[in-house]
Amino acid sequence: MGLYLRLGAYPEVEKTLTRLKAGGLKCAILSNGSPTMLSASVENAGIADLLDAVLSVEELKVYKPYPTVYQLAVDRLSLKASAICYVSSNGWDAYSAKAFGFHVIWCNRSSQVPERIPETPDAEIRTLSDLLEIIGVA
Amino acid sequence: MVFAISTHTDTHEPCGRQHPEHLRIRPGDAHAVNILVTSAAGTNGDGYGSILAFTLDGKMLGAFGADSGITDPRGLRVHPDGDRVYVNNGDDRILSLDPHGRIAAKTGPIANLNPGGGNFGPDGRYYIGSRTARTIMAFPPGLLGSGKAILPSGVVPFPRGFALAPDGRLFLASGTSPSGDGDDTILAFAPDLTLSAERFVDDTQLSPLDLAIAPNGNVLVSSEFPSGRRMQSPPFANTTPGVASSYASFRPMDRWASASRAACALGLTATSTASPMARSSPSILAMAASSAPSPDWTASTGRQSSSFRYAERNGICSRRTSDGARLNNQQHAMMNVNLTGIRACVFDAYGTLFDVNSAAQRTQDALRDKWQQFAEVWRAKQLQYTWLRSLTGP
Repeated sequence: MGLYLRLGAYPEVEKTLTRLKAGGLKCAILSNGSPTMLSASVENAGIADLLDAVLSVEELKVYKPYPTVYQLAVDRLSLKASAICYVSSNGWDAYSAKAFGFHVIWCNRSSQVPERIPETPDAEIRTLSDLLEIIGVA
Repeated sequence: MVFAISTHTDTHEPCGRQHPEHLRIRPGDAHAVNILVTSAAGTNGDGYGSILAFTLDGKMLGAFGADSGITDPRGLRVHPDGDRVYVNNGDDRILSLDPHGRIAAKTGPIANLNPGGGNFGPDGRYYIGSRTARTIMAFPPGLLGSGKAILPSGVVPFPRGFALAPDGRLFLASGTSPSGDGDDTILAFAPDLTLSAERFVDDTQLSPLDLAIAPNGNVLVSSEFPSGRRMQSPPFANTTPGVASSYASFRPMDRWASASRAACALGLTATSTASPMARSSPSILAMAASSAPSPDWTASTGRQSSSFRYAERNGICSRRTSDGARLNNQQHAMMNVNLTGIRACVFDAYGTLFDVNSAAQRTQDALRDKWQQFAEVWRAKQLQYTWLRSLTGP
């Protein structure tokens, strides 16, 4: 597992986060990973300063797509679910987050086929760079 | 938002093995745009019988809308508000689809509707060409009722595409049928639908297929000449309204024609920004327009996306029936939307921000060609364990 502590970020991540922050948006991570893993990855990728919160499921002892995990972001950011754009590359995560009540963009990096479950994400993109246009950050 | 293209030209002529049908765009937006192409079925084009979505670069995203009510779609248009796509369905209905391709409203079946292309009018109604009745019919945006014919049945023997100007004038392309009926001309109707010009363009070299209104008000024409011999035609023309019946106002675009001698522009859309787009056979062409404001708004060159050709060779033309059915069942494309009121972005970490394959890739020396497979198993196991831990309780 040591390798997972030194994961690289995708090439567009830093620039995308920077522009979101410049546009006045909060940025956060909501992950099934442990705090140790997450903080190592964040440090390694050099994006710690761009994140307002790094939220791990560990304190809840339950994982996405359980709804209380998504609720964690609502509570910690003190925002309504409808003011949050949730972004995931996992189809199951994106569809479940939509069912929870977020706006959701599915970053379908690996061209997965769509899920056949009820709630459909608001948009599908290939890389995070495409996110900016959709939420109106120039 | 969407940009819908379909390639129909309201002709009855066989289109061979092509199947993108028309070309339509949401006004005012050149970004965050998908292109929707209707792929006709049966005698209308031998295609998928579904709506296919592409990126502007021509990459096929898959079928748009898996609703079984979408059958043999022909012309389509994005509503000016950008939140609905209106589709002329092969079962004699008009549909309106939401951004996910689900049917939001539809007419009942209308006997002999046989709809071809569609356009929104300045009055907010949706207008379609009825091939059987050879007229144009208007529907309220909610698609209630069975539509109202706004021109006499059989207005011309061989109607093709039409366009509605912002001031309410209607332009109708007329062609010649294989048996020689009809005239190659563009008819113009006043806003009260009285005929104002039988020959809006008096040019014997024009056999108009589809029409679009350019941002400056010019009427764009895709044309074949001589009738039925498209390969030799100057396919793209530009006429200035208000100078009806004036040869001088009609300008075949020679440079464009010579740039694409092998192509024939059929369905046509003017975008509000720069490039008009046309469906040629069987590809989609984007045409560069002069960027400076110009009274002529001339099209100067055509660019055919190589990926479109790829998509059509591999996705539309070559594979249909069983492969097409699989595509429809397994893929669909979501229309890009603009989200408003967003104050925070929350990201999943692994696979979204962090490249989970990069870990296994570092083991590449030891694992050699197995590293990708290893990465996939590793990731799958992680996910399975989170689900197991959730299911087994704290």
